[in-house]
Amino acid sequence: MTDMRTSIRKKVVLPIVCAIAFFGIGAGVQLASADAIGYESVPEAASVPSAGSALPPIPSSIPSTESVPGLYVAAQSSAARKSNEARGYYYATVFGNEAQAKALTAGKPMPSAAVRVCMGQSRDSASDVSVRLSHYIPSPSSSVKKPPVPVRPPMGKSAARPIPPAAKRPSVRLVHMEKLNVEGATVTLDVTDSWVDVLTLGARQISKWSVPMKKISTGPNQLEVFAARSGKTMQVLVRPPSVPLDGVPEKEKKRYTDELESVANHIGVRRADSAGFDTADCGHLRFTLEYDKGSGQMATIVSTAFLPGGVDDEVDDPKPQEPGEGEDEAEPRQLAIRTRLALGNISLTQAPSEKDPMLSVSWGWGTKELIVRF
Amino acid sequence: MRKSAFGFVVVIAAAASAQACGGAAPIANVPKVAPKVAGCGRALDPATTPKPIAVTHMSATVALAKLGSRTLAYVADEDSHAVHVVDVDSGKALGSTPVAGRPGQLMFLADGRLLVALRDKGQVAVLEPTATPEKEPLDARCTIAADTEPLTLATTPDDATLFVAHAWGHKLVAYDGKTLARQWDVSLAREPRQIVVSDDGKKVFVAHAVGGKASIVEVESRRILGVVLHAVDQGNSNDKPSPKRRNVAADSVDTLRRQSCQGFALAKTEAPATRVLFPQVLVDPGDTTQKTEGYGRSDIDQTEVANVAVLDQASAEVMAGSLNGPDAQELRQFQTTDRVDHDHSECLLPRAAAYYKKTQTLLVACMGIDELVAFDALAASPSRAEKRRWSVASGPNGVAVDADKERAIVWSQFERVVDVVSLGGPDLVDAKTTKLPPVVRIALAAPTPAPSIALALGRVLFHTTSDDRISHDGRACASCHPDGRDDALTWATPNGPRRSIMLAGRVDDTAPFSWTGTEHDLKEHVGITFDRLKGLGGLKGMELEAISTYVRALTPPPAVVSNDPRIAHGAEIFTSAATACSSCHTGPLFTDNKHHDVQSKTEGDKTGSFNTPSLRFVSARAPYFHDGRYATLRDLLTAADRKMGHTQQLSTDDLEALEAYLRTL
Repeated sequence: MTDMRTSIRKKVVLPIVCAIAFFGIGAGVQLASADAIGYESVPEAASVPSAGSALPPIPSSIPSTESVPGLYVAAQSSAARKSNEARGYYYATVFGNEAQAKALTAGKPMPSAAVRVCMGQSRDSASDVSVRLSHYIPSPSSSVKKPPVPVRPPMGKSAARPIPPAAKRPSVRLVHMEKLNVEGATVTLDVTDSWVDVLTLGARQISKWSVPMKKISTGPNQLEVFAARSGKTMQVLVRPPSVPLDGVPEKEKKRYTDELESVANHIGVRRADSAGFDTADCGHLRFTLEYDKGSGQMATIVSTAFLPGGVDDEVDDPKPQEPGEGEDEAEPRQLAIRTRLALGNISLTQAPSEKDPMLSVSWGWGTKELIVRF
Repeated sequence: MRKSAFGFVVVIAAAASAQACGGAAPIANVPKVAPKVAGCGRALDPATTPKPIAVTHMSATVALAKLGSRTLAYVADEDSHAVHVVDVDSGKALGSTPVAGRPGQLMFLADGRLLVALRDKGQVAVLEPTATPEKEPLDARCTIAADTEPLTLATTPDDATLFVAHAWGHKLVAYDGKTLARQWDVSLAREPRQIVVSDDGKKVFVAHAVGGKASIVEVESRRILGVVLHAVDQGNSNDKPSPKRRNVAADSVDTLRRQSCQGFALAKTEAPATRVLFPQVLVDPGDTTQKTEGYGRSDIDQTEVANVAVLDQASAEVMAGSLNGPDAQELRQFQTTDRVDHDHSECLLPRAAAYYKKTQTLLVACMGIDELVAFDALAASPSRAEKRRWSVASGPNGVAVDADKERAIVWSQFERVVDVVSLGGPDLVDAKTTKLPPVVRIALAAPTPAPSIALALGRVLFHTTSDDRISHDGRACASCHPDGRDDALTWATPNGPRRSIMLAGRVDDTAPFSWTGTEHDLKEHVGITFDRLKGLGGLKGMELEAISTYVRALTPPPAVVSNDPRIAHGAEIFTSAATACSSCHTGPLFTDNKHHDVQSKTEGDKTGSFNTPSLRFVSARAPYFHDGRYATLRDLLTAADRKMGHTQQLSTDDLEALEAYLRTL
């Protein structure tokens, strides 16, 4: 959302904005209503490892010849790599897309990925399209005294406890990867945990889980919510809304898509009993809900809904443009779309006297309308 | 958010004026004589008279019945002391039946009889709907003697037992469902405002306007369980274990400080869910050991947050997580701007609730914002799962669901309108491009005599939440003075801890106002109060005047009916020179309008000299003193000895007699 500007409805001076109202956005909102879903109808799946799950011993190193299918480890471009490694810094970036990995190493612009994969460095977290791993090896000639990332002492230990020498830290890191596969009515989430060696760029699979999921709700603009259950824990996965293109002129579609996908893909979730507000920009957002007799959990999905209809801003200069006028100007015409934050509330609860747990999904608006211009 | 209160006020006044001049038709066929009384049973043919629909076994200010293909709404109108009948389908007001007092709530029994609680008469009227609502809507059967201020009713699912809760009398009375003979009663905490019976008929759930707890009365044992409806540390209460700290929001310091208030509404889910839903408000009155800039904490935007507590019917346990507040502020983390531009204000004065099974929706009628708000009833925290809302007329205090026709019927007392709200369709609707079914408004004629414009406007302003002229955080006058009474809370203020003062019936001739008695003019005092609420100001002079007018005219609680033989002796003790109670609490309002130092100054207090409070209605407005230090009258009488009168010499019998007398004031 770097170039996006938002504002409430107001007078604008750009007559071009009026023109976009002409196009209209089309009926792009898939309106949602409340659902109470039988928990037993959610597919059962083996529990996905969490951050607390035991890991196998961390290897000291992984040969560069080892790799994990679907996991692409990229070094920096040679120039950047040379400069950093001379100072003891080593970096590896892990993608779920080969073209992106190659582009990074080649120092080329990052291509967009048709199939989006979510990556993270914890078994609970996968919110980015890539993860950047680092390692530091101090050398006598190094002028930098501190490692690139401060090492925090373990909880409960004295802050004065000496930090272990960075050189002794293994160069192998955990990488968590999630990929949602949708083939017709079959939806599965593939979860792969791997070790990746920052120095050799080798990768070794730790575990792989394939979780069948069921769609439990559809939000605005085809935002989809899937779920799988394992005992009293439910995995919930949210796929971002699509960008509505109905009514958008052909020549504007690419810019339209490019600009608004970043808005659409930025989804967040807040669990009611937690201070954390998790966001994801990688194509999906996964979280868990648990219930027990007499309790339960609730999460609120926050997503941007693109609303149909044009922007009816008033303009200061109502003079109509002549055909072709302004087309050669370097400044691209300003586009605008109506948006609104939509909140999806998912609850998994069971009152002490209820026979079965209750899974409920409902949607409501979070804010007033905002107009996004780009 | 600010809404103009003038429009409908003028309309009401104009309607009344036109009616007086013969220009507008009055409500059709208002009987000129009291209906006949012919026993309590059904006398009319059930086959030809209206049949109740949507029987929830709990009362509201609106109840529904069917007559042929017509849906009729029966509305309790406290202003005109009548029950009106409205044809919901045609949108016409059909007729009215006067009742003998100020109607609280009404309820159909399954056999078709209509019960109406008469707040000021200590009675429940039993009526029967007639087949000709246009002529004589209701036929009186009998009245049941109740206690002080019967307000809300409920029956067991089989109608075998009728329960009547008394607001000012804080009592639950059980009657035989068939004979309507009184069976037993239990004393409740202050201000019970809504009751509902569990599906198995074994428990009565009671919402209280103040006090922070729900009462659960076990019918068989008549044991009362107090369940705390706000988050507190486990083990801090002698009552039902409160929710565990881990189950409240992560910002638990703020959450734990909040206290439950405004329990005016209740709803019950239907099978397979077994939940009782308590719309309420969680209030942070601030640290009373500290001086603040206003009423409550100075560093928060949300002194009050709307909430819906969820209890399990069988165990009466609070569902973990339901006490979490709304996350409005958290959206800032997601917004592309710093400002969260909400499309709504919080429901800080919930006044009625209903459950709509088809979409598992809790409907809450919200005074102050004049909206009907729909929540996901099965959510872990329903207040965080708002689905949609509809604008309704001013002063909504009743809602009933007509499930067959997917609509809610809302009664708004202030504007005298029955709103018909379509509940169908999706919740997430873009109103700009999607045509929504309009809310159908059925206006009733103004009462005779019509209230003055000042009174009508004052009532609206008194209850208006989210008016930044009045407060910075949405609070209304009615937030701390529900129903014109008090919230039973002690607030942190610039002058130290202060108990909210009950207003109804205790304003006229009690100047100077406030605990420190610094203001002699009520209008000025109202303005100072708004300053302390950090309102922006800007209320017009006539608006301040209107609020003052309304405050002076607030309906006081009815007199406590008591045949206690000790009352006379108690009066003697009160007026005796030995106790010296009446040396300060003197005159018809039991105040000398002067300041006294009764050695009650706390570290937080700026002064130790306080305005003598009127003792009117002292019995049911605990806790006492300017800082709420005494939980009961007995505590007050015994612990304040020699600082304020002399009571140490009194025997237990004398103390009981004195209390009996005080309860009648």
